[in-house]
Amino acid sequence: MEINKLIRKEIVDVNVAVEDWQGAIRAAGKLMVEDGAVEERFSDAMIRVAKEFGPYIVVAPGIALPHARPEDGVIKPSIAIIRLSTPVNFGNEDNDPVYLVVALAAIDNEQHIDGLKQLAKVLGNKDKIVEIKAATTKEELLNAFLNA
Amino acid sequence: MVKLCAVCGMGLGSGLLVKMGIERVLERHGYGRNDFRVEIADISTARSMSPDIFMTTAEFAKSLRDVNAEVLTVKNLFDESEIEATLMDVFERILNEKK
Repeated sequence: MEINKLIRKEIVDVNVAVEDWQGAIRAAGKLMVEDGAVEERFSDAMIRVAKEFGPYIVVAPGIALPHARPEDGVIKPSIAIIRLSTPVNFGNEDNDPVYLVVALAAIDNEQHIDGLKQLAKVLGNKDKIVEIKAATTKEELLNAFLNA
Repeated sequence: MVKLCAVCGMGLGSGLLVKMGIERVLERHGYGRNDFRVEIADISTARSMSPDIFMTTAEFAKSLRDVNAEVLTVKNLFDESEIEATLMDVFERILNEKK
């Protein structure tokens, strides 16, 4: 599936203020609900997964990748990306605090693979990380992910 | 043929990232599909698999402590140089043992 269908302006945001890690996951979930990408229960499912498996969802320094199962209310494959105004701790001693939340809604094991490949390309690139941290608008943040 | 297994919570997200990282690193070192195979497993099925190398994050490594395989951990799943530094010596040793 094409990357610009998975990552869309409607589910990207910057300067998102949250109180804690659960708020960070809910903020990403809210964007996806408003966009019709997932049902409301998807946020609860992402939080349940994070509690069940521990803070492994912080997959890189400052970057959390919350996700849940397709049957937890995914309507269309999507990747929501929010940059927090103030980083929060997820309880991962290696990679806290988290400034970027990349929430993954998958409908199966296949549709989002191109999206993950693009994420790996962008988030494994130090120049891109600088660009992501410096983005002041959602358009700039979106472009950092799409133009790689 | 070295069998590798990338382990995560559900087999949907981070396991796939680890698999892609391993494949890119090994291919860059000139290894191909006759040399290695990477599978993804969620943590509940990982213990029933028998790869030569598990690669995962610190949390899942704890529950793989007593398996009969190398268990390698990565902190930054997007960092190919970390995957490379963790993986190459172990991979090449096992590959040579099997020759």
